[in-house]
Amino acid sequence: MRFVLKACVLALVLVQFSARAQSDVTAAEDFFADSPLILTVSRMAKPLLESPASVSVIDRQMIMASGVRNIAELFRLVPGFVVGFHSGHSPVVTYHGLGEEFGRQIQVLIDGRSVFIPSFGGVPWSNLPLLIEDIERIEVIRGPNAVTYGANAFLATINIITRHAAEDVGTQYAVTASDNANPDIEDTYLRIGHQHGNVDWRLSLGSVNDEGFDGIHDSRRIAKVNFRLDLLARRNQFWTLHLGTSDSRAGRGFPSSSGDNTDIERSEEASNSYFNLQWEAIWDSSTSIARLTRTRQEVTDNYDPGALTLNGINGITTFIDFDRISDRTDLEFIQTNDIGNNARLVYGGSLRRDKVKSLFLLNDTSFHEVDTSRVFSSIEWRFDDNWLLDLGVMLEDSNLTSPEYSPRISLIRKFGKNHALRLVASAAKRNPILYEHDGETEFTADIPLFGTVVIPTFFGNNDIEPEAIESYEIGLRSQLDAGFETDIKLFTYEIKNHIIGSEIKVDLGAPIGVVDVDTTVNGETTEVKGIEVEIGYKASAQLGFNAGFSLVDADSTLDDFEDSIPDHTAFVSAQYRISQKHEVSGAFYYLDEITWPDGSSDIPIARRLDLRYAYHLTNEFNFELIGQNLLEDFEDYETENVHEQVIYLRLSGGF
Amino acid sequence: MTHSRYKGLLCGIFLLLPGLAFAQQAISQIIIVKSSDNTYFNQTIETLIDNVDQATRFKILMAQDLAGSSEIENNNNLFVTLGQSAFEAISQLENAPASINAYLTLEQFKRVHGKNKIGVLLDQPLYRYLAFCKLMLAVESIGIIEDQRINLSKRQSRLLADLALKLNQYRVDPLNKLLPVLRGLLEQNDVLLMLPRQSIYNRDTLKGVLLTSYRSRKPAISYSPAHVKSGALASIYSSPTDIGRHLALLVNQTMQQPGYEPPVFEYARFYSIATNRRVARALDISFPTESELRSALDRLEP
Repeated sequence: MRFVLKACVLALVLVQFSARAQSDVTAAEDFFADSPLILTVSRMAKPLLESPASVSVIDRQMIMASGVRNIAELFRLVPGFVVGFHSGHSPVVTYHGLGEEFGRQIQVLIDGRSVFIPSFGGVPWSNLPLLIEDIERIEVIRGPNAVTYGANAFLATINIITRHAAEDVGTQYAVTASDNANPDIEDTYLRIGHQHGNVDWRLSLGSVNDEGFDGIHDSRRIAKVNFRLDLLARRNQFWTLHLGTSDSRAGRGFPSSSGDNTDIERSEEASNSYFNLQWEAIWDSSTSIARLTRTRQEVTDNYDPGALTLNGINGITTFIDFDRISDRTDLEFIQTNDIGNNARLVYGGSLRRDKVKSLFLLNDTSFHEVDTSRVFSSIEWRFDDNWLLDLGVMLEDSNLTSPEYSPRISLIRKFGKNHALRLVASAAKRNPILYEHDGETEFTADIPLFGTVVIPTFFGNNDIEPEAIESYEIGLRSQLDAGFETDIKLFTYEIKNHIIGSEIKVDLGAPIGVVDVDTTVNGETTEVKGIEVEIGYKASAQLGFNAGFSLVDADSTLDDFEDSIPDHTAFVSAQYRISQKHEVSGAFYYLDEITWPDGSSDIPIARRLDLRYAYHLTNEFNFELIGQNLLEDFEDYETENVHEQVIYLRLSGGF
Repeated sequence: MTHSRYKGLLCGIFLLLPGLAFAQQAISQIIIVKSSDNTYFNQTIETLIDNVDQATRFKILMAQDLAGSSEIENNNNLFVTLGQSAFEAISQLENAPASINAYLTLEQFKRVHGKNKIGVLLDQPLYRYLAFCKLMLAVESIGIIEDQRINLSKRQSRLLADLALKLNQYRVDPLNKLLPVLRGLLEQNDVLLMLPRQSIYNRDTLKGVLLTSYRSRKPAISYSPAHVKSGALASIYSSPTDIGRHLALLVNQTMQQPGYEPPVFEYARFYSIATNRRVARALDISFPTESELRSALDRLEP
């Protein structure tokens, strides 16, 4: 927190001493001199009608109207997406199913930077050094997209885009709090943005605090700092620098009365930091982007669990050290070239190095490295006014796998201005993470009267191969007049060669004897087919409405996977600006029965209603009253995790 | 100055200069004064020279050389200034020679205006901006941002009614910062119309304005073709050639009709259109061709 305060003071000093650049441009130059390119191709979203995949967009208005505090919860507004809370501070986001606390099938990018954690996998949603207030929009690609984003863009890809610093000049604040009832929310946000000639910057500071689920040791205290700088170097060249860090303390484990002797109540501390330096140049008919990013996570979680019982032997003592450091560095280059008026070529490549250090995961105190190289290319060819063909392929090679490729082909037929039919076929791989390949987890235990014994609990599998998916879809997107928009998608996909857990027997000799040790193997097949519908209606600037549902039929050779894919999900959200001062919004979410693969409970149907009222007094002062889970309480992930009604207030404004 | 930009000038400046003939004597030479040496001024000069009597003598000066030039003593010279520096240079001369002054916005002209000065404005008349937005995008509401309220003339109000258009004005001031005001405008209107206001739209604010407009999926129509390159959807403006033609008309009238009494300033008579197809595609906007727009606009010209 001290760092947050220092950064805040520094920002205020910078603002105080910076003189706003005065414009010395004459009117004639303003009209006729060269002007910088501000809206570049890379910043412009492709029209959804021409997208070669199913894309859902969560825009700023939807984010604000939702009233949510957790970024992960926004994905309930995407058809087919399933959001659960493994604990109060560990949200899980997946598409259709197969979700786990450390899920590995979804690619998540923030401003082009992968936030996947290469040690255990997954996305640290709560601890991302990103504040929900800084998000401009989220584009969600439903379906494999490895051709653009590589392995892990397996079931879906989430692309979070923050605002350009020039859009945030000034100071903004928000304070969110509930009454003292659970989950005892206390969030803060402060943003300072400024402009110095060709440089725009924004500093965001925030904290997220709550007590998690009632009766569960899952509170969180998180402080976040985020900095973005946009520089116009020449009239066609841009530099963007993002820096951020978060520090968190989260409750983990269960009371000893629960019978779990190793996962005891304790606090886990984590630090997530990153930088993202991007150069972008716009030429007459081409665009170049080079990006260097680094994402680092350090987790401190070590403890003495006390005396344990194993295979009937009492009084075993050990020390558990879950500390780990994950580090991902990516260097990426993307080139886009227009070829005449009807074709566009995109190509590029990247070099990635993942480094993991963890005694717990790898039984080693030094860093283990995985290098991945990728080249990709796709061509979009408008061979007729109404037809668009998109062909692409990604070639990827890493230390852990053989070279592999992921192709995609899509054909779009437009019917006038308002309708487009798309046919998409794609394939992707999900590479094993380092732990699944090289993992080695052992505990050194002191056994009374016997001495020290090393007890293994997990071995990776050097022969493990990537999971593979083949996906086919037919989609019809319509953008009707009067602000009405629909997308209907029929899809089928098959996942082969799942990377799954298995057990092997290991004889440790006396006195422990034979124990089961976990490992990874390839196996099982899952077929999923279904229909998804997305509806958007913007009746006016005052009234908006969104809805979506998915109807899924899953068939897997492994029941755990089949049970993790709910048959139905649905949402309806609406917002209405009653007047300049008053606004109301609400959302209803429905999630069918589900059993999470790494959970132990069959979770019944969940129905959730959120309502929000906002009073906009002035720019400097807004007031929001938000109520969540206003219907009956519902279970999430595990039977013990119960979402209860929560009411909180948010005061916000800017000057 | 009154609170009204347009009416204020008519009521104030015009009344101060009743019946004053612009150039009382026969013109022997045109002195063109440039603020700087650039391609768009040179293009205007070329068009001007091509469109006036072949026998007319021209001399070209830079603004910084004007004060020391012997030409300023000759009352038979007609000055044509291009740009703000040239306009300021000639306005500082004691003998106030007759001058036609181009490449100025109404704001700039009002600040420096003096005796014997005609302004050829970069601004298009408001009705042309409004009609352009309507014809191009078939919108129902247009938002503009001002630093002071403008009052519409009866003709402008009639045009709005004829076009079934609603024009909403938003004000920026120290309390109401540009981007929050812009966000409100974009929520409540179909399009942002950027009028030439240096205090509002300048190098410092352009990025924020265009990005915010784009994020709101609402197009920005600007007074400046340079803004179209930056990311505005379209612009209606006077090109250097258009300005040259306009200047030639005024020069010819002044030379051929001694005692000619022109208005104090004229909005752009000729115009061009610029569009950004990439932005249009990204916003999924289609619009008529330039020739269709032009003929529709010409039909609406008074």
